[in-house]
Amino acid sequence: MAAERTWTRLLPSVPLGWLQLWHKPLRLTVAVAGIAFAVLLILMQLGFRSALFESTLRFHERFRYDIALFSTDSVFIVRPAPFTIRRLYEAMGSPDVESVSPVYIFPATWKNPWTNARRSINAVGIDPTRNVLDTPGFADTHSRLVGQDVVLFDRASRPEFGPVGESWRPDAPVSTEINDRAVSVVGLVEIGPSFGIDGTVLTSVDNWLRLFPDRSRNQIQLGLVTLKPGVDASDARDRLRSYLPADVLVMTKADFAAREKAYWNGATPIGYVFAFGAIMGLVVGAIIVYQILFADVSEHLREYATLRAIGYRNRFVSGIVLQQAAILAVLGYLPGMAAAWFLYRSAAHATRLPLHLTTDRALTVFVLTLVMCALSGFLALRKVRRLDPAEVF
Amino acid sequence: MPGSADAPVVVENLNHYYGKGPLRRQILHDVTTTIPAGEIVIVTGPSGSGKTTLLTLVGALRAPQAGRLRVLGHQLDGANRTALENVRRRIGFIFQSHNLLGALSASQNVQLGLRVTGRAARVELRRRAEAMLEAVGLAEHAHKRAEQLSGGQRQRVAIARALVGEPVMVLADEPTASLDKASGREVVDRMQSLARERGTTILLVTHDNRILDVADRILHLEDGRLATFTDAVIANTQQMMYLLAQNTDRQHVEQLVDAMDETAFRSTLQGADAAVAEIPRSDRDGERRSLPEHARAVAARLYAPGRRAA
Ligand SMILES: Nc1ncnc2c1ncn2[C@@H]1O[C@H](COP(=O)(O)OP(=O)(O)OP(=O)(O)O)[C@@H](O)[C@H]1O
Ligand SMILES: [Mg+2]
Repeated sequence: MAAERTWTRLLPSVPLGWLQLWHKPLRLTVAVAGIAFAVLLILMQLGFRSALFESTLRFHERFRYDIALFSTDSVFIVRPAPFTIRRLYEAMGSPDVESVSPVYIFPATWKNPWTNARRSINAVGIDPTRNVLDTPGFADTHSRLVGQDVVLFDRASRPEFGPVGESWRPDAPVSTEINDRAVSVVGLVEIGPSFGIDGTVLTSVDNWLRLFPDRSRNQIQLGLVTLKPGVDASDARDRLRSYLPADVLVMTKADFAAREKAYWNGATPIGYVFAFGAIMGLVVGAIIVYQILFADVSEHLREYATLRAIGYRNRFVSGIVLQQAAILAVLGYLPGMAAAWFLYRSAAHATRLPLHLTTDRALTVFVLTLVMCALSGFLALRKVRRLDPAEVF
Repeated sequence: MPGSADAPVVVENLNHYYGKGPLRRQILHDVTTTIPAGEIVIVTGPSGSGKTTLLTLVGALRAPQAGRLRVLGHQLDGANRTALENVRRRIGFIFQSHNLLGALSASQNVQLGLRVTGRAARVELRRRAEAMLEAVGLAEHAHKRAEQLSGGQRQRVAIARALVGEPVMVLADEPTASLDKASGREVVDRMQSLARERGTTILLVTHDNRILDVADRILHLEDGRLATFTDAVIANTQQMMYLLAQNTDRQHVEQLVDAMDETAFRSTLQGADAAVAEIPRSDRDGERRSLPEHARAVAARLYAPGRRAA
C-alpha cells in the first residue's frame, strides 16, 4: 500500500486505461497471455513460411549460372523431370554462351551407417572439375569427386541420416550404401534441408550414373549455362528461347527462383497453410482483445456514463478503451516475441530450416498486433458511443 | 420576477415526453420555475412523477424537447451536444449511487471532477483534490479505492468530486438514499455548508424526509406538474407527521390526526400556508425559514385548542 502511494505520487495524472487494466490483474494476465500466444503463432507461421521459400530456393540461388535450362513440367524439389542433354549442347552453339554444365538430380536411398535405416536423400550429379556450387565447403572438396563411388555429404542434412558431419574426418571417411551401392563420403559441404529435401549428397556425373544404372547420361534434370562476360541475362534468355525448341524452359536465376516460389505458394497448399495460420493468429488475438475490452466496457458502463455526465467528451472515454488496447498490444507483444525468439532457435536446431527472426518481421508483427488491438478496440467502442449520460441518474 | 435574468435556472413551460408513436407518454407538463442563485431547492414527489427527468434536463444530460430552459446563462433548448457538454462541466453532479471509478483511488476520482473543468494545471489536480477530500473529512482516505471505503465515505468522495471544480450549481439525485440516518445527515450537512461558503445553487431530489430541513424551497412534482406549496404540504402530510413525531410525543400526534376530519385539516393547513406567506421572504443575507420552522408553525396551529374545536 505504501509502495502504491509513492508510485501514484510520482505520476500526477495516471493513465486511466492502465488503471482499468491493472484493477483486474487476472483478466490482464489472461489477455496478455492470449495476445502473446497470438503473436507467437503469427511469428512462427510467418517464420516457417519464409523458411519454406528460403530453403526451397537454396539450389536455385547457390548454383553458379546465368541461365538455367529446365524441364517444362517440373519444379526443382519434387523429382525434376529429365530432358535431353542435346538442348545444352545446342545452347553451347549460341554466341552468348561461354560454357554449359549438366546437373543430374534424383532421390536415392541412403543407408544410415549407424542404424542401417534407409531414407530418401537427394542425390545430385555434377561435373567435379568445376566449382558449380556456391556453398560452404564445396570449393575445397569438389575435385575429390573424380574418384569412384565417392560423395560429398551435406552436413546440414536432417539428423536421421546419421551423425556424418560430426564423425567424419579426412583420415576416417564414412562409408555407407546409396541405392545399395557402397560409397564413401570424402568431404562435407553445407546446404541445408528444405520442405522437400531432407538431405543431399553431391557426386560426379559418372558416380551418379552408377547409383542410377537404368538412367541415361543423355537425360539431364538441370542445365547450367554461363554467359560470356557483359552479356545481359534477360536478353540472352530471350534469344535462347527463340533459338531452342520449346520443350525446355529457359530462365534467368530470378525467373527460376520465381517459378519455384510460385509453385510453393500457389500449386501446393503449404504456402497457403502458413499464411492461413498467421491470419488465424491475428483472428484469435483480435477476438481475445475484443472480449477483454468488451468486458471492460460492459462492466464499466456506469462509470463511463458518469464520466460523460460530468462533462467528459466522448473521445476522452473512447481514449480510455483505446489506451487499454494499445497497452495490451505492447504487453502481449513482448512475451510473444520472447517466446518466438526461443522457439525459432530450437525449431531451427531441430528442423535445420533457415528460421531466423528478422527485424523486418518483428516490426511487421508489432504493427499487425497494434492494428489487431486497435480494430478490436474500435469494435468495443460501439458500445461507448451509445452511452446515455442521463442513464446514470 | 426580479433577478430572474441571472438566475442559474429558468424553466418556462417545459414539457417532456418519453417513447415514440402510440407509446409516447408525457412526463413533464408545463413546468415553470426559477431557481435563484445560492438557494438550496429540494424536489420532492412520488415515484415516477418526473423528478429525475427534470433534474437531467436542468443538468444538460438530456436535450429539452418543448418549452424553454435556461441554465447558467445558456439556452439549452435547441442547443447542440457540445454546448450541452460545456454546461455540464460547470455543474457538479451527485448521483444516487456514488458512481466512483472502482480502479481509481478517492483522490484520483476527485481529480477527475477537477480535470474536466480544464481550469486546473496538472500539477494542481492532486493538491486540490486532497484539499477537497480533507474538507469532506476524508483526508486520511485519499489513497483508498472505493471498495475500501464505507457507503457514506464513498458518497462523500462523490460530493468532493462534484464540488472540487467549484461548480456554480450542484445537482443531486437522492444522494442519501443508500446511506443510514447518521451518514445521510453528515453528507447533507457537508453539502449545505460547502454550498453556503461558496454561494452554490443546489438542486436536490430526495424522498428522504430527514433532510428536508436544509431546503430554502421545496418543489413538489405530482404527475409531472409542479404543485403549489399548499398542495405540497398536503401531499407531504406524511412527511410532516414524521417530522412532528420526532419532536413531540408520537402517540399524541397520531390521536390528533385520527380525531381530525379532512376539511378541518385542510383549512388548518391553508391557515398555515397563509401564515407562511406572511413570513417575509428572506433575502440572501437574512435568516432563512426552513421547513422545520414551517412545520413548527403548522404544529402550533394544530395544537391550538381553539382551532381544533372549529
Ligand atoms: N428513459 C426513459 N424512457 C421511458 N420512460 C422513462 C424513462 N425514464 C423515465 N421514464 C418514465 O418517466 C416517468 C418519470 O420518471 P422519473 O425517473 O423522472 O421519475 P422520478 O420522479 O425520478 O421517480 P423516482 O422517485 O422513482 O426516482 C416514469 O414513469 C418513468 O417510468
Ligand atoms: Mg428518480
